[in-house]
Amino acid sequence: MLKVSNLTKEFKAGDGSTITAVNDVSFAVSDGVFASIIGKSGSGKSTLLSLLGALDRPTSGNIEVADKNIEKINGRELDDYRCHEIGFVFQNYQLIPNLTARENVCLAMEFAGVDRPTRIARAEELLDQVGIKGARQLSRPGKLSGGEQQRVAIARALANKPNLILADEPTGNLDDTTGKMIFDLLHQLSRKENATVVAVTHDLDIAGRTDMSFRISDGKLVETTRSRKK
Amino acid sequence: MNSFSRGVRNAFRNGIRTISVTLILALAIGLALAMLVARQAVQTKIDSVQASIGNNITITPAGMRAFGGMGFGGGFERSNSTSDSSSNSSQGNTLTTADLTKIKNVAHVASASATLTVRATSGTDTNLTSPTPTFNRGNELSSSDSSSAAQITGFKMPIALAGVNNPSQLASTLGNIKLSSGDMIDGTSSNDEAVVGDQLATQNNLKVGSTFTLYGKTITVKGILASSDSTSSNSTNSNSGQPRGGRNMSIGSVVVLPLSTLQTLSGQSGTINSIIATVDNVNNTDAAVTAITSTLGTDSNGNNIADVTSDKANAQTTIDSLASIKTTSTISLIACGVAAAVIIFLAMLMVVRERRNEIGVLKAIGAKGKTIITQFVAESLVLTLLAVIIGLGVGIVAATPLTNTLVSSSNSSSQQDNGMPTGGGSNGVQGSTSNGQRPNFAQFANRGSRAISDVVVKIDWTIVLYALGVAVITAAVGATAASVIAMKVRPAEAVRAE
Repeated sequence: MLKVSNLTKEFKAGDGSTITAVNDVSFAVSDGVFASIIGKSGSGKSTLLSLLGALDRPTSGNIEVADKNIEKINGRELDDYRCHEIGFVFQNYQLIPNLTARENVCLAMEFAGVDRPTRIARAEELLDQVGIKGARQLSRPGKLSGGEQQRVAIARALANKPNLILADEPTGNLDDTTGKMIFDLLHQLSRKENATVVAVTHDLDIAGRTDMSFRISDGKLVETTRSRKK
Repeated sequence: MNSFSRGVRNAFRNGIRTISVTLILALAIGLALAMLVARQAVQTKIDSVQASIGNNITITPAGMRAFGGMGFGGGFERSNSTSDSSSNSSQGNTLTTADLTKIKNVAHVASASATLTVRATSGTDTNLTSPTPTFNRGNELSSSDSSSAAQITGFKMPIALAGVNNPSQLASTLGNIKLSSGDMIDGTSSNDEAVVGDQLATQNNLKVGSTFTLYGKTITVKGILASSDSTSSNSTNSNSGQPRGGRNMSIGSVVVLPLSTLQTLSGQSGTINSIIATVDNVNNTDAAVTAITSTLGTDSNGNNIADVTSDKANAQTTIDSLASIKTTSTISLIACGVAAAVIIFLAMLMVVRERRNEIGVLKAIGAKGKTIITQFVAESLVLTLLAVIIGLGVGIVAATPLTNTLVSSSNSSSQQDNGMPTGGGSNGVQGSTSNGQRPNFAQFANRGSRAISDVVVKIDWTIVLYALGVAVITAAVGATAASVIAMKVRPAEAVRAE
């Protein structure tokens, strides 16, 4: 269960004024649900995602993931939380350019302390599942298409079997067809791994295919839609 | 693949940057190594000079002008008067046998020996002719192979005569002398006998038992001095600061007679122009110098009768010059070390700035701080080790010329400060002090004997390992400093990348 209560994030602007990127947002997402956050550019979607992933600290409010209040953890515990509980999928794929596809997937498991044979086997299995097979697994990101890179990124996000997958515009850099394929893949694998997914998107069509959708405007949660019963 | 091997691989992500950083760093490390080698070479030289400080004190007449330079190339002309006082008045202060006796009685003086040097004119004072001098490279006067040097015509070098009461004392000014044949003279006798330099002997066809004429007297050759042995001795003893230039000519062309014999022949009875006193303990040298100066007293103008200088004081001049070189090389070493640290820090800072986004991603997927630091330190170490390998080559190539440049510039300025001739060659024919006075025999002999030009540059494994250790520590510190900046990169950077 992901539970967000009265979450607020403020930034100091260059002129000294305060910008409220996320304003008193509260919502809850049950385990295994695929949720989307939609909103205009600058509405606070990515900031909300950063807060959920413990990449940034909220000004106030609480975030609970699997009954753990992430506001109360620090240092190494926070690293462990990001490593074991969260899987990230970024808009620009964010693969390490001088590592192969397999090494990129292994990286997340290396940080989790998984031994080398296990992580190689798991990486190959995940890459097979996302459609990166054979010699392509040993290709560097520069040799892969955008869709392939995002598949590798999804495999990396799933590597440590996280409870929560956070995806920031996962189809934003892809054409419609590829985007839909990637979305379906993410949906299918998260379901298989029983992971909760929160994806930021500006694509209403994609948002309409998720279990629930939150609309953000000026940092505030203005609408919650349940498009599918989970 | 772990974070260390990832860091190693990262070092080669950008070929141009890797080459650029490595070369610049190699230059700094190479120069630092060269300075380290120079510093150690100079320190070794300082140690050897300090170890070679003897407990001798040289006493020469104050304001002595008659010497043409270093070694036995100069000396008094024969006095036409039999009166010592008239000789004194024409030549300034002189020392006498009575002074020698006084010095022997000074506290802490264990022994004292006297020397009289005189220049004899070929054809007039003696039937000997000097070996023909030639100009070698660097304008040094030498009697070496005429095929490689221009012969001087119409010029006859005077014959250098040395009267000594203790021939073994010659070693203190001429180095380790050896006889190639015959025996050494008895310095305390008044015999008409001499030992002659081998070049002079060859020039005049002299052998042991041969005779020559000096001031109308027939002198028998008792032994031949070997200048070649002296050369090898000088090379062997290069660490003791013995000079090479001019020495061979002096030994090869000198005539050494008993003191009393030369005093009588040259009409300078009782006259001495150099006394070497040996002190019982080097720690008593300063006290003995003061006591000797006081014992010899002052002239009518209130000036000291004699210049009294100790080996210790003379060595200090050399040590001061060497210390100056050491300071220069130390400062340069620190500057190069700091430059290397700054280079590696800036290079790693550039890498960190370039990879902010990547660092954010690593943190977002669970990388711990030590993982990121290890990665950057490994990358920095690889760049530094590459630079060390190239830098070692640069250092080995640059060490000798850099050291020589430092030593020669310091030697040159030191000579100018001391009034040593800088352009007249090592024989010091044209040497004069900055105030226009000619330096005396003791100044030349003793300053020359502490020449600093033969600093030996040696690169050993200790230096290489020391440089390697410092470079690795520098790399680790530089990379860690950059990594601290990397640690400040927030993982949210990864999300904000778009």
